[in-house]
Amino acid sequence: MELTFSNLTKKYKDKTAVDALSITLTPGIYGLLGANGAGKTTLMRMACGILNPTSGKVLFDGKDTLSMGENYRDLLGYLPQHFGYYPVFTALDYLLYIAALKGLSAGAAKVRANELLELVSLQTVAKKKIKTFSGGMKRRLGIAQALLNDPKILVLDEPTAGLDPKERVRFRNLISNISKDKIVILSTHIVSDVEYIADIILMMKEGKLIHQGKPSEITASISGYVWECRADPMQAEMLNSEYTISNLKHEGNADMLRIVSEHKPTENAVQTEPTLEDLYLFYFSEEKSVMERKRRSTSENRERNN
Amino acid sequence: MRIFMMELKRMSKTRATWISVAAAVALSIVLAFSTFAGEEYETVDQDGNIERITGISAIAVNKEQKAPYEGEVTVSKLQSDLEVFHNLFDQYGGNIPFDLYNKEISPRFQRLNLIASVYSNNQDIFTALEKIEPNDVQNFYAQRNQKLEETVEAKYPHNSDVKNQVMLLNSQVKTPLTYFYGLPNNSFFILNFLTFILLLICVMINAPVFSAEYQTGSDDILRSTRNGRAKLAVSKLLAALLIDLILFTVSITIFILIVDKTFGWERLVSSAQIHNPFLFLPITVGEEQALLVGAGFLTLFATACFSMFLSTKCHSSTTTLVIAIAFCLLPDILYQVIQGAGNFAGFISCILPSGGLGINNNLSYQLGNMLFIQVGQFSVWSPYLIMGAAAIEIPLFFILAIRAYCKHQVS
Repeated sequence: MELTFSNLTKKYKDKTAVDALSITLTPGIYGLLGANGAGKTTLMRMACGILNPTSGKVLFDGKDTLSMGENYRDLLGYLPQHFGYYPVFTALDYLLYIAALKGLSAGAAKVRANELLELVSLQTVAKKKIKTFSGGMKRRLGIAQALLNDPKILVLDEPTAGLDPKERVRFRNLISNISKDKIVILSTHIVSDVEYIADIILMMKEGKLIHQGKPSEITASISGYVWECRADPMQAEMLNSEYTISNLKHEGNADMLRIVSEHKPTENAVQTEPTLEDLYLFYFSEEKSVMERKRRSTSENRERNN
Repeated sequence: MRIFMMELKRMSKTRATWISVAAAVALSIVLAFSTFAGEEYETVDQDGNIERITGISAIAVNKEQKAPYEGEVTVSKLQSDLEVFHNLFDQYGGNIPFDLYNKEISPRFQRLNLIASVYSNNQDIFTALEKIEPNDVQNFYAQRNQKLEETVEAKYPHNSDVKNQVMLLNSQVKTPLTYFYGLPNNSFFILNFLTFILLLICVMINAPVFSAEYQTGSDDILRSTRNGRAKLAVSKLLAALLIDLILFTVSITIFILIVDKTFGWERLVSSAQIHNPFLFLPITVGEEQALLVGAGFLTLFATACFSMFLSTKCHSSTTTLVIAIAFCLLPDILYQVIQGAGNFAGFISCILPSGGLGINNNLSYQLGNMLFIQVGQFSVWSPYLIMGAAAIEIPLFFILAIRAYCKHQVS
């Protein structure tokens, strides 16, 4: 089973949201990382066939998904970023409604809906109206609807938004459990969500795929760029304005900083192992990067002049 | 079928739908009773004080008083009515004593009004009748035809097509005309008004059908499912139309039952020409009522389909609602602008989905207004154009809505 994005492009007037993106996905969990406006949601919408590309194609096992129509949608499970629900429906009503749209028979829909309500721990509120649900409960219901047809391709856009840490852990375990023989595309801002469960990380910036690989492989690309150092509060403030700080911890009178930088930020800084979060910050802390580039250029000029 | 049932369940569960249905039912009852408000009967008591009875009580008295004058409107009856009028007028002039007026003129008023309309252009009925002799009424039905022909000629000079259409239909009007108490008066106007309000309520129910899904983002999930395109669109359209149909049927049935039961079912066999002397359509009051309901149904459904088509095109329910309501009011505005003249604006006014349901351009008025629209070489009577356009627009906008929904792209 293969899902291929072939030279996929989406343009909106003067903006290119997805820019000639090509990749082939096979069963596994793909963590899609990128800042706001990187093109993640646009890519996912094109993957689900609810947004037509300006050019390029989405192919499933070599067939154009647009021409596959309902046969392709039959393989899909999709949870959009903004999950619109029907306030007057109960959780069970809603799942039965979506199940009908997904083509499940009435009997199968009931069984499957109850199974999934249990899976997402909503069985006790199955007959409560959705409008009474918390944000996390609505999100879990959204995940349940995406799984109704046991999809081969599961597309989850910011699925953990609004979930508390316990719910996020439960969600991660759930996705790991059901991902066998499925292509799962999961976009998030919360790096730790994909760090633990994603087989492959896809990193998007300005509509392009800038990195792809296993978490350990792509973090290796910034090996030597992550530093830890101790600084007094004034120095810490200065470093914070110049560098990308991935962590800052107060330790007595001093601060312990974790800095992502191509250059050694202070004399006492020591290199440390990069994480996915460091990688994310390295690519998406735009302003700091500009400042750092300026600082580096000034320092290089100064060295040259000397 | 299951998707349709689920969609129907979803739509019917919303508070907006229930409030709309309840409002429509309440309104139909209130408006039905408002048709009785104009009914009154006045008597003089022993002390000479005028006692006025209104509403349902007045209907009962009027019904009893006018019963002897019901039935066929023959020439001899018209002559006798005119003789009675002349006797009283010669004796009292314009100041006929109250009890005599009540006893002799009031029950004959509808027939005297017919005579005045056919033989005179004077708006004041007494002035008009004063100059008409009983013998003149001998040719009442021929005179009615002649005046109708003159009216057509004056309005559409040298247009033989219009004249032929009018006179052909008129030749089928059954004479002598039949009169029964309980003529529509304002009840047809109120029936049209009720249909117009129902139309607005249906537009309010239908406007969010698709656009609310776009607005909340729930459409993203729906359209990524197997049956989330054409089948879902058809189910949504049918579910909304079924709710509209139920709302329309229940409200109109309540209105008609209350009005016809109170005025008396026999009123339905009266000739429509009794209250509208130059109506050239050969129908009874009952058939006219059925025609108004049928045309109202077509117009409401055409507007419902149009508003749902708009809903597939707009990204917010409010935008859909504003545009749909503007289109509901547009035919009325255009009709007022053109003042009944047959031209392009008249054509647009008639073919818009809600044509014929406004306050001023409603079908009840159009039936009597003799408005013909020039469509190429043909002259089409406005009620035909309104109903024909609505009948075409129902499937047209239904299909266009499905197509637009399937082609919709999330933004």
